[in-house]
Amino acid sequence: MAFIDVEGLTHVYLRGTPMETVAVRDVTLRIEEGEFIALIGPTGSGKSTLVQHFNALLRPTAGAVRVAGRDLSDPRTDLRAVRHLVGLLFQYPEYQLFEETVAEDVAFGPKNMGLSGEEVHDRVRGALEAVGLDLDSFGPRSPFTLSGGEMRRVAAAGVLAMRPRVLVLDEPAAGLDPRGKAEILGEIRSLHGRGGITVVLITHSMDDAASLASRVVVMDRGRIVMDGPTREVFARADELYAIGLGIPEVTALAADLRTRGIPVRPDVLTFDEAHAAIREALGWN
Amino acid sequence: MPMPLIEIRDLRHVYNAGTPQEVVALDGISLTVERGEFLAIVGGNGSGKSTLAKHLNALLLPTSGEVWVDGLDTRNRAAVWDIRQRVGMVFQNPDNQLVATVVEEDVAFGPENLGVPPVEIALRVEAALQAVDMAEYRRHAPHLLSGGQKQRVAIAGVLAMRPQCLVLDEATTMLDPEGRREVLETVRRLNASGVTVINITHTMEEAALARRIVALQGGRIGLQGPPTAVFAQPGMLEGMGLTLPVIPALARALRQDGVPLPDGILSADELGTALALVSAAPSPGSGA
Repeated sequence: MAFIDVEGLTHVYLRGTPMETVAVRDVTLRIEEGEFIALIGPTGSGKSTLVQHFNALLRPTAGAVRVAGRDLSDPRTDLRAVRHLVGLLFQYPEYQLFEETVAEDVAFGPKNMGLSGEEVHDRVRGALEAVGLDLDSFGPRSPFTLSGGEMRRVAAAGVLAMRPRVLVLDEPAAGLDPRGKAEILGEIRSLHGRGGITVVLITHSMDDAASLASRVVVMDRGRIVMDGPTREVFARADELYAIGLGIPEVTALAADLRTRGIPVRPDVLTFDEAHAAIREALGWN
Repeated sequence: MPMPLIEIRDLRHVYNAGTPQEVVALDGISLTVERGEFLAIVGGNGSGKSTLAKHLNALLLPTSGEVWVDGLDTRNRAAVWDIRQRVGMVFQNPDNQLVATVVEEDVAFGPENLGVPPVEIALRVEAALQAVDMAEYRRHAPHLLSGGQKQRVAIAGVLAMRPQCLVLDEATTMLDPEGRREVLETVRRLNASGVTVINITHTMEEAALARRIVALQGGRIGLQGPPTAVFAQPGMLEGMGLTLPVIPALARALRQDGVPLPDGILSADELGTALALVSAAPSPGSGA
């Protein structure tokens, strides 16, 4: 059975009022352990509403969500335990930092889980290491003396310290400068690469989706309209543009070069792939 | 020679001066913006970009130094509303900028506050909504629009003030790809019609669309010039926490492989044209 199993999920906000909005409409989605999924879609397509069902922050209007075999609609299910399994990092999480030191902020979640002081300390150290920050130098600092990228990583460490099996990230790089963005995405990539964690990345950047995820799920107006391996999804440029999305810049470049008679492989997704494909097409090896 | 639109002389801005939290955000900026320019201001988080932007319409005042807008000194309190009419700002979060319940009322908000007569306001609102291609949404509720549409309404609100300069402070950061395309196309069109544009961004692909880039580092100007000149200094950009946009970076990598590409390639179209020429020519080692 899939680790997260969403079956026929519909979510309606403000049902029965004039403001009624169907945010998610009959969505079925199965996420296996260890996957790295990019969830893309235009603003208002239902991405954030969908993922908030993964740990019961929102309840289905219709349909079912099961996490690790537990039915989240079953009143006997321990939702606290489910929230430890699925960690959600919302947009601009640095606004949620509130403790006086980085170490205390990261310790907040594990302390609430009722862990021993020693276990909390180990988890804080491990979580900070996982995002590339050293406990001894960063732990005692005030979160508010950090750079934007560092604050974002501390917020991610706060979620990781709960040792979730699934990490859901909503636009983790939005608003960061190129260096901060490379840092946080690099840490997410290596965290996933070390194994044991499933990642769902919500992003507006087709380039980030292409270079990080092995599977892309596309939402439009509350429905899943595409779901497949990254290369196959980004081969459907016309459909993606039609719903207000796009394809990675290098993929568009490859298509343009082909119309000019340069036989570049059409399915390149990353800078390195495009570089190699152009060299090959030019016979420059 | 006509007076430049914006003249900044040795601008310093210090937050929390004299306290332990003192931060020097701007440390001696001198910059002239000509009328009709399309300028991008880039820099890492904390480089001073947003602090600089807020000096352009007197939201912040210099700790020392001067900022002149269309001949008006921003330190002159009596000139504040004239300055804000001339320089309008659009910020990052589209949900924090719209105040009315109907699009056209939102756009009318600025000129109403200026005391513009109602007939004139109606004309301005119509022209502003046309300019951002949102006229058909004039009776819609702003909160039901997409992110890109909201930002275009915010831009229309600025345009209804008949400003000389539009300042965008990370205005596309929260938008989806279509929203970003809409806003950038709108801005390009406005600039072509004579509005000075200053785009503060850390998306280097966006900076490449400007005619001049000013790169800030630690509250100073670290690098400036046309995009081709700025992107010819990748090492310096990297030291500032910035990167080359994808296309110039790809052109550079291919050039380093020995592919004979000209300098100054910015767009995919330019790279495509150059590569087509290389592809048509005999390859090295082919003996031709």
